[in-house]
Amino acid sequence: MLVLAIVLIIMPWVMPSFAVSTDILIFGLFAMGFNILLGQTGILSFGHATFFGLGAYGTAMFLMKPQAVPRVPASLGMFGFVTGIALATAVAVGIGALSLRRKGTYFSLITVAFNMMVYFIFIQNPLDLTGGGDGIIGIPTPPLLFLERWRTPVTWYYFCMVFTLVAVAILRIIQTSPFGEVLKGIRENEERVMLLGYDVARYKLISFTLSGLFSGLAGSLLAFHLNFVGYDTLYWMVSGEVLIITLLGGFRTFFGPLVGAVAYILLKDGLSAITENWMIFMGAVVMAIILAFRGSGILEMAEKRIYKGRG
Amino acid sequence: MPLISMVAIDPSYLVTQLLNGLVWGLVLALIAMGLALIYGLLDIVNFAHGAFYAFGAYVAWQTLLSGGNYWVALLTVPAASILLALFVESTLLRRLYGQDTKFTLIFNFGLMLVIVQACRFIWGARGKPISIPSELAFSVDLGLLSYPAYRLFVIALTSAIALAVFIFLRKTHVGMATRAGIQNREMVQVLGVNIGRIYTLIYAIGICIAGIAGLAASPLFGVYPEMGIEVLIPAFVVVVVGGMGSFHGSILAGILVGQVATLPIIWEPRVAQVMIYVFMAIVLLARPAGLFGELGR
Repeated sequence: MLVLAIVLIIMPWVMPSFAVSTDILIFGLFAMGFNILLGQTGILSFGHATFFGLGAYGTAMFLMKPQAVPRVPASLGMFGFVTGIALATAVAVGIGALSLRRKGTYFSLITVAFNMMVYFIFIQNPLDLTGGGDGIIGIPTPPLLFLERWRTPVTWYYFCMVFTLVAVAILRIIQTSPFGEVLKGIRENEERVMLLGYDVARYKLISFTLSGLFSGLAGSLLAFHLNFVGYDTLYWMVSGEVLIITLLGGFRTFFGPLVGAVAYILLKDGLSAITENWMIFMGAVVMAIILAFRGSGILEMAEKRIYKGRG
Repeated sequence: MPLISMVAIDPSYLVTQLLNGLVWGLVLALIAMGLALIYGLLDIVNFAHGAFYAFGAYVAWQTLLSGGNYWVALLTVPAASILLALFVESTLLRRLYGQDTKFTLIFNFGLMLVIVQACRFIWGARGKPISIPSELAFSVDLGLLSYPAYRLFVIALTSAIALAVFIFLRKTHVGMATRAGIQNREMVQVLGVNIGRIYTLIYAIGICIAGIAGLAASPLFGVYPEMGIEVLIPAFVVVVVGGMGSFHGSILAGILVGQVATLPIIWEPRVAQVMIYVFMAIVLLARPAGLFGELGR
């Protein structure tokens, strides 16, 4: 954790810009949340844009839609995090309960289908809440430590960094807790865990919900980061992107998703300057990771190298 | 509002919507059928299936551009689809047999990105219209209403393909080996059948059908890079509702989902896109195994 803190403090100074570094934090956090399911519990969700997008919308709708709630005073800006996370988490419970009724690949298909459902609902601008195709513009900076007065890309990065560090610390605690051990057991052998008397369905649902919660937090940060939320945050392709990020870094490692976010954002930056169809490279990378490296990402390969070196 | 308008529907409008739903449902059924065959035998969720649907439509566009007509495309599209399928299967997919289905799904997601982006690169990101073949550019008088002949042709074409696959599975030796392989792969191998060849064949058939579905749909909905995903996710709904290993299930569920997607347009177009997912949620609540499927797969 200490190493991570130092890396994150230094990172923006070697990156192209502070805004890029903040992107890395947000997508890294999103991928860390996603990986509770894939890496730890062994479940592949293809619908995590739902919770990322709802985190962003939950924040934006609370702060910017006076007809929904009595006009929120700016001093309550921090509360936008709460509404964003709450919306993402609540929907995660619902979608999790439904989609976990089916196993394996069916589960992946159901999550991506519900992802599309939420996308279509939000694009229709129900009750004039979501802004439809225009999205929601002008989300104010949360007023913490006079941040709204002193907001520069630098202070904003470090603000997000603190959030990320706290979230990663909590994720670490979850991972190493007895609860996290049960999740690992489900990943390795679900039936055995069930025979040991654990309520596997409940553990999976909690895992799914936690995953949605952290994805929602990342989405909420994104809303403040861009001061804007658009429906494309909810598009199913974002679910694919978080999967690519996690794979790139290495889904079998704890910090892999963060490493993946660094690689992905930099690759995206570089490639999209070359060609508009840069996703073709991402597709090739995904195929290569599965075919040639048996699913190992950057951090995993690095770790293997190190262990080999030690003999 | 919806309740009031429900009382006074023009019956010819209702039948038109039912037929439109049937067209869409049969296109979905063809996609879902390929998914079901490939999943049932190869144990692979073909996330790239929609990309092959788009590829078929682009090949049709290219055929028309190069001076061919729709009927020529009806030959070039299957040929190109089969060639691409054989190439993908023999060079890449073959190495994944027997691996974790999560991995194969992710691999096919990557493959989908490559195919779709390659189509964008070759043919451009802008949508392209394909005109209805001139021989079918008229309306048929069905008594109550007149309906475009091309849409009736799509109904006939998709039904014929489904029937052909059904006969292939029931009446030919290879089809029987396929069905047996879906039930018990090892046993078929023990009996001396070269299951690897059947894998290749079934993958090529599934892809070929997706390509033809893309061709059939292109004059109705146009040709554009995202068309694949727009049919893939509803096809997932079909597969979840119908049961993935089931041939009949995918056809019936396809027709059903087609209606669920189309009929609500009569009352409230804005909710129509959402309805199939609501329908899927209800099925998951009431019958988690799907309408025609068995639990445990």
